Amino acid sequence: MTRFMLLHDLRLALRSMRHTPVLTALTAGAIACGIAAAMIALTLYHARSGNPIWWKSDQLFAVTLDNRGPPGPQDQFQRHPEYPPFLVTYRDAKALSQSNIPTRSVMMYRSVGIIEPGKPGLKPFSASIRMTTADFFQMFDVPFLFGSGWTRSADDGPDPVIVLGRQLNDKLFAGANSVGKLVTLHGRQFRVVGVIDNWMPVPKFYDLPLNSFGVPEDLYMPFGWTTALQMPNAGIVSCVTPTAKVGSFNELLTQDCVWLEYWVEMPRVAQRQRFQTFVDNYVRDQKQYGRFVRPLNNRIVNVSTWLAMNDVIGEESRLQVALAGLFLAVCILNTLGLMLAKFLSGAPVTGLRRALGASRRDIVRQHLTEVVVVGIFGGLCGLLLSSLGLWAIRTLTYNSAFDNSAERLALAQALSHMDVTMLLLAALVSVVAGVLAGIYPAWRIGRMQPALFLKSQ
Amino acid sequence: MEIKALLKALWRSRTGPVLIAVQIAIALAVLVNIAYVVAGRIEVYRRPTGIDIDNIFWVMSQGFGKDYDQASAVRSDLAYLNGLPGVIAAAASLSLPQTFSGYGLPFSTTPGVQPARVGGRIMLMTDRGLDALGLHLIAGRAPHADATTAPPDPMSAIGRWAPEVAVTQLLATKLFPKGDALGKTIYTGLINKAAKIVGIVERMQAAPAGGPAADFTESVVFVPGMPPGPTALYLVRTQPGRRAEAMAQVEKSLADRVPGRFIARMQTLTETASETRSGLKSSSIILGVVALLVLAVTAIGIFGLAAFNVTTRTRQIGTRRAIGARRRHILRYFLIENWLVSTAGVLVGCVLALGLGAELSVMFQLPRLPLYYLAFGVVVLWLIGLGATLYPARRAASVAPAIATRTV
Amino acid sequence: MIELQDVGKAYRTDLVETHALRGVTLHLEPGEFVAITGPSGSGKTTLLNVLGLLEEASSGRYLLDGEDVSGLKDDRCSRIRNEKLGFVFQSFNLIPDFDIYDNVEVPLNYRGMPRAERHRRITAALERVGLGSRMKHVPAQLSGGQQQRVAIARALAGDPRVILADEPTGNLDTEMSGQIMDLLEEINAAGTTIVMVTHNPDLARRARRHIEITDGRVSERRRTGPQEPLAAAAPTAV
Repeated sequence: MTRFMLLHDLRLALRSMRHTPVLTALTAGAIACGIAAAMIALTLYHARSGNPIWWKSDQLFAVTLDNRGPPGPQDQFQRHPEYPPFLVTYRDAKALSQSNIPTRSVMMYRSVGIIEPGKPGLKPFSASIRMTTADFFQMFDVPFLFGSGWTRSADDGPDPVIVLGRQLNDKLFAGANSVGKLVTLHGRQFRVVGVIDNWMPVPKFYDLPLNSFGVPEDLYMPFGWTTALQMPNAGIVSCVTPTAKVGSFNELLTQDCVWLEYWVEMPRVAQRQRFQTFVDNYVRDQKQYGRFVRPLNNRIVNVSTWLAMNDVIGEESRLQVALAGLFLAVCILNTLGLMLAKFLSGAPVTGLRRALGASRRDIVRQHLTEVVVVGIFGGLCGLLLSSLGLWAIRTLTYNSAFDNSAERLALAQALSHMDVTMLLLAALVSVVAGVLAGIYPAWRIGRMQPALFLKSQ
Repeated sequence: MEIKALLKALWRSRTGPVLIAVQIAIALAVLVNIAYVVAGRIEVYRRPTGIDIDNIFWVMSQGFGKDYDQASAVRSDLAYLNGLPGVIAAAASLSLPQTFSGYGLPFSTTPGVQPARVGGRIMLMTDRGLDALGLHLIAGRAPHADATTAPPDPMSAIGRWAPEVAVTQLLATKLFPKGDALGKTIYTGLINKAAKIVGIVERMQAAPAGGPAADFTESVVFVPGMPPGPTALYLVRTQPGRRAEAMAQVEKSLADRVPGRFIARMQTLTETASETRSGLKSSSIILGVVALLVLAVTAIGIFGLAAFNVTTRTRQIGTRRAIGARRRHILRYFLIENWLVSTAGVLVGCVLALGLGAELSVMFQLPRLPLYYLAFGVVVLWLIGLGATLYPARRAASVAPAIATRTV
Repeated sequence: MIELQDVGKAYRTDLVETHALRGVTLHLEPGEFVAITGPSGSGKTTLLNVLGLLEEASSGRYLLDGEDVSGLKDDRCSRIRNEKLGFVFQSFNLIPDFDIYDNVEVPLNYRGMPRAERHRRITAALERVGLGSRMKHVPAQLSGGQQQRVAIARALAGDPRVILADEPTGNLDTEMSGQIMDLLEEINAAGTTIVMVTHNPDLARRARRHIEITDGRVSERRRTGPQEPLAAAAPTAV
């Protein structure tokens, strides 16, 4: 019985929609635009709001120390002057790594170097390098295609070993298992010990201060080479005290200039408390050398907090969602108005139907069905429109010719790709929009006395 | 004419008008704020850079061999580049202008540690740097340094400093408000060095920015010196129309002139500047499209309500005509009715717009929304209301008076 | 003061030409109370429309107050309707969202009358029809008879020479019909010409002249004796 009624309602709805094609088209069009805008904004927001390492995101911690000089007018330029700098100094990183409280720890930064393929037909080229200690790969659950990372002792050597990213391995060795092969980098020979499989966390949570949505580096090198080869910093160097001086590479290692990212892995709660104590004690101790003049403000934060502190989503995205919401509201109001107008002009026919036996509930249900159908139809068009819109955004924003690598394109895809969640959300939004727009008009028309419209005018 | 009666009538069946007024209010708030944000971005986009962008290209050379000597490579390359036909000047630079990468230092007018310092971008370039960028000196001369060897890395390059520098006028005024910067010495505690200002450049935009950020990116200190190896970035400025020709030459011949290096990249500064701004541009386009769509949807709503009113009031229109209304009275009636609803909508919309504007000011660190944007939004929405109502109103005006006596 | 000379009205569609009025000649003096009766489709509404300048005659002449108003432009017609005519409709035709003060004001606004004068006339007209105490009410709050009285007040407010009433009691019960007819007689007694279309012969008897229209032709029904045709052409059956 109910299924029959639904079919009947649908048929009535479709007939009514066909009866006023222009109005239906305009209404569906308005809903489509509203839904497209909302879906585009939500997709972009959703892509930026993910936690790419959610399975251990509360075991991984970024370590930040407040080694800034005394508070002053320069603080006003910072978004959040209450946060310590997001990077640490070399000497502090070295001191922190003395602690054996965390299960794993990593210090790292981004560098560049030149690779000489030594193959005919392939000129030397510049590659991005992540200088890091050994724990990086296991800490961040980096998947390996071939081989593995290097050992902690290789950091101390430093051993001439490297780990390649998949794209680089494809370029140098045509994707074959290159473990054991040699690569000439920065004028020296390094031995490949591992090749990473496709890995692109979005956002790039471990490298946020520089690049929230960047591609991973081309290769990874043991941190020990930093001093041995004076590997240049291709990230940020920021001197945070007025007395810091940096006039040479060596001064980078000694001065109060931050440039390293420091992460620890602490699965057990007890570790975290002890590590916080260790860090605070270290800082207190350093105060006697005139460092750390501010009150204790050392934050050891898990990934979610880290993402929030860095405001990865960004206000731009939030603004987009708010705007899209307003726009959708306008579209729903619009539909409400148009449907109300249409139903009220159709009142004579409705009056007739009531006189012939339709109940108030039938009338309300039939009209509500019509609006929901228009909503769904508009939603489908809206989905198409949003795919178009996302494609347009991708091409507009990510047309940089700098690295036309597959990875960068994949990143662009990831950032504006509608997954199943989004599609379901779109379906839900169009039905809800239809219902919201239709409830009042359907109720109004249901409420009318049939007699009013059956009398001759 | 009968405005009070109209207002009372609108209030009596207010559902339709309220719906439209709310749409108009939201549309106004959205339109005004988008216009303001986009205008701000356009301003950034179009700020004068001071650089002769359309006649400049850059080449990046990467040395890799053990025998690669930066200083001699740079000297040799610059000799070649400066000798090319059509080239006005070429220089080597540590950083690429019109991008967000670069170096900055805090400066002050007295030695020692200063709490209140002025920040400025560093442009470390070889001798013909100012010419290679087409910058305009308004006082003094270009700075010069004897640079025979190349520093090993960027830190050392900055640490080396130079005895004389040039600055942009913006920075000069910030450090020496009385306008007597020429000949004075500036200090930077971060590298414990001092230098004398020998030249003042009218303006240079190191990176495109607006608002408070522009203050920093347009305060530039020009330091003469040899950029560190192994990367050599050359800026080449040509006479108008000769850039492509020079680039073709460089593509062909530069790489082989020095052993142990390869040419990593070459690009026109025009493209670089455009890429840097592409984010601004695309987000402005998106915002603009959203604003247009909001206006379109609102116009549809207004049109729909007006058309509906006309069809349901046909008998009323006929009656009015019968008792003496001329066609223009009917037209005016509908236009005024819509104008009253629009006005209610824009009044509420102005409040909404200011509220939304205050939020955006905080979020994007923009100054407060100026009131003339509201005026602009009000006029646009009035016009849209007028336009959308016009066709239904004209249909109404053509309703025949004889309708009044019809019995159906 | 109203003179129709051999007026005809024809409607042309693709297929057929309908003559709603044929050769109508009519002469009305000021102060007359005329009833026009006829079966459905006889053309009585069309005759009223032509008299009221709501439609233009296809042939013949129409003289109103000595002025030839046949073939005038729309704006001029509107002006004449506004100043010289008053209408009362079967379905009252009041504006539902206006209170009755504003309803009566509508034609006065089109005349460009100053506010004080409008107020004077509106209050006078509403008092005259007995609704002076309900000026702020909207039509929905009034009975059918009261609404028709408002319509009459609206017609009166502009001091018309003629009131044209189209089935003024068609939507009212007997008691209210009587009240409306009394009101119309009062107005007529005060000097306003009234032309009333009705299908109710009892009401027609209350008028002083009775014109019958059949198939577009009019004939006058005298109180005593047989009716005389008013057209020079073919006689009509009784």
